Amino acid sequence: MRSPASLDTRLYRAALYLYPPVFRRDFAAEMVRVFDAARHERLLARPGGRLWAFRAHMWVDLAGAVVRQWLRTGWPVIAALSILYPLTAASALSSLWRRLPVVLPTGTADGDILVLEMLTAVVILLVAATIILTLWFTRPLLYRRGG
Amino acid sequence: MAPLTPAVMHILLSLAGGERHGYAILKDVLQQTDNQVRLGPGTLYGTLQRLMESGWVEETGGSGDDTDERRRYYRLSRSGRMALKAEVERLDALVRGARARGIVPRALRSRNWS
Repeated sequence: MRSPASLDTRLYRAALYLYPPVFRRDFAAEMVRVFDAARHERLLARPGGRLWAFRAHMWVDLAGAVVRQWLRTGWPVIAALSILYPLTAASALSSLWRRLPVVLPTGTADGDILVLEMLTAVVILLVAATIILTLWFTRPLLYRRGG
Repeated sequence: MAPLTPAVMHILLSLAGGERHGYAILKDVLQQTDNQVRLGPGTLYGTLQRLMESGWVEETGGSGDDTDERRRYYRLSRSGRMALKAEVERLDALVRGARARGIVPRALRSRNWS
C-alpha cells in the first residue's frame, strides 16, 4: 500500500498553485512525483539526516521557475502597460488641456465633478488597455492551441 | 544560434542517450556532472516545456519493457539532436582555442607530467 504523502510533498503540491494555470495543468502531477522521488532518495541516502538543504534547493528552484513561467505568459508586461498607458494618456490630456483656451471651473462642486470625470476616464482607459493588451498577447497562444 | 543554457545542454545530453522520464533525466544529469548539477523539478519541466515548444524534444508514451504508465517520457527530436551537435561543435572549437592559448585542464596537465 502506498504511504500517505509527506508534509513536504503536500506543501510542495500546494505551492504549485503559484504557477500559471496552463503550466500547472501540464506538469504539476509530474513535478510532485519527481519531488517525492527525490525526497525519498535523499532520505534513503542519509537515513535520519536532515532535509534542510534539499528543501532549500527545491523551494529556491520553485520560486525561480514560478517567476520565469509568469514572465513567459506576458502578464507582467500587460500589467505594466495597462498602468503606463492610462497614466501617459491622462498626462498628455492634462498637458493638452492646459494649452487650450478653456476656463476651468473654479467652484468646489465643479472641481469635484471634474476630478470624478478624470478618474472615470482613467479607469475606462485602464480597462480598455487591459482588454486590448490581453487579446493581443494571448493571440499567439490561441493560434497555437487551435493549430 | 545562441549558446544553449546549461540546463538545456544537460537535458539534451541526457535525452541523447534515449527516451527518459523526468526523474530519470534529473538522475542522469547528476551522474553526468559528478553530482555538481542538481536540477529541480521547476527548472526541469520549465526547460522541457520550452524544448517541446521549439520542437527539440518530443513526448512519447514510453517504449521500453520497464515503462511506467503513470510517467511521461521524453525523447530528442531530429532538430534537437542537430542543435545539440551544433552546440558540442561550438564548445569543441572553444576548448581547442583555449588549449592553443595554453589553457589546459588540471587533469590533463597532471597526465602529461607523469
